Amino acid sequence: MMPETTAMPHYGNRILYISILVSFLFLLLIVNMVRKRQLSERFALAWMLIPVLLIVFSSNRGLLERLAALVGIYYAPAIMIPIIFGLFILVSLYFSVKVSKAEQRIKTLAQELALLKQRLEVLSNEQTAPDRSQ
Amino acid sequence: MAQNFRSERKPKRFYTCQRLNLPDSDQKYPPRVLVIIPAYNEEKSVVSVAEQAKASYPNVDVLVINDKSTDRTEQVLREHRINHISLPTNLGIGGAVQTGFMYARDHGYDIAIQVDGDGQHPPQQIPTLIDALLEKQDDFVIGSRYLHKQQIVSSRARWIGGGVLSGSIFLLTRKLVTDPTSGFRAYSRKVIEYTSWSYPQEYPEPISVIELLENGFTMVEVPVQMKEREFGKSSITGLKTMFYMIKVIFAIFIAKLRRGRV
Repeated sequence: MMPETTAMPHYGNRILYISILVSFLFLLLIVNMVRKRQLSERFALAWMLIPVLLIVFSSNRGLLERLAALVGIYYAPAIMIPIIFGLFILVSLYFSVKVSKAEQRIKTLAQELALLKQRLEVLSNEQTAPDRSQ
Repeated sequence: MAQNFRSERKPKRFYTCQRLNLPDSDQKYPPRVLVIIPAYNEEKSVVSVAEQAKASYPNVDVLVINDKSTDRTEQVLREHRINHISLPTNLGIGGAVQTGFMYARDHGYDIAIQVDGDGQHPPQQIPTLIDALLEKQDDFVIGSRYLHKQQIVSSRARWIGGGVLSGSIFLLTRKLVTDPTSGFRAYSRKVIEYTSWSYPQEYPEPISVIELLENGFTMVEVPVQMKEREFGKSSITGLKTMFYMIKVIFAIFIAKLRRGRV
């Protein structure tokens, strides 16, 4: 029994360090996009939820282990998978809400614009009509 | 005596009309009627529909909503000098019809009639809808092809689909709507004010029925005869029918849950 486990190289917390590193890179990317005005602050905050929470969990092995034990996961870092998955679902849901709202607003704008254009056309026809008769 | 009875139940309605032979106090004005015709790529049929609608009833105004057609609908409307609104982007039938309601609201119309631009709703039957709205004390009128005796129903799928929709609407509202997908309708001012504020964007016909019923508006159906479409075909075919049904039934349940909370 022992040889099998010792044959496995001891990775320790390596996955957690990688997770922290990638999270920081992701944060940097987001901040840079906001700086270049490619991304608005509001959406950036939603995206930053993912790396920030990842850093919190990755840098706190104890928390991770307690959480893993709670839901019955043997290998503690594996709990990152459902956490990330859940966060992604939340963030995408948030964006769907935003898109729905934007859709609604675009619809109202298009309608008001069309109504105004029609009214303008009617008014300008009324104005040019007497000129033509002269 | 009969007249007294009538004037007693009259006041809450404002679309009174001389043709009803009501006492003087109720003769406010003949109703102002707007016929809303949503059109998406209907260059062949929209002009005849608009002109027949104009001639169908005294003093009706016609408004075609051109939902960013890609064919010559816009030019045809201009050539024939038909009152129309051109949407800057394609909003779909719901958004287009709602634009018509907003127009009716802004210009003080008492009645709005919805007629499809593809010619499947014969404009000659517009008076049937208007009369029903004026005579019966309901807020909106649906022209039902299933109440009409001489109507052939185009396909079995459509018949079953209509039945499922009617069934779910009946379960939720205890009101029988024989033809919930009919887009041939008349709305009173009260309803116009509501629908110009809130009207479903996708598959609006069955969803708006339940939304309006849930919000306390009353409905009556009158038999109308519909034609097979002159040009083009139904946007709902084959496998799409299933998705259509799922979407609509979902939306119907949502409309039920939403009552009074928005």
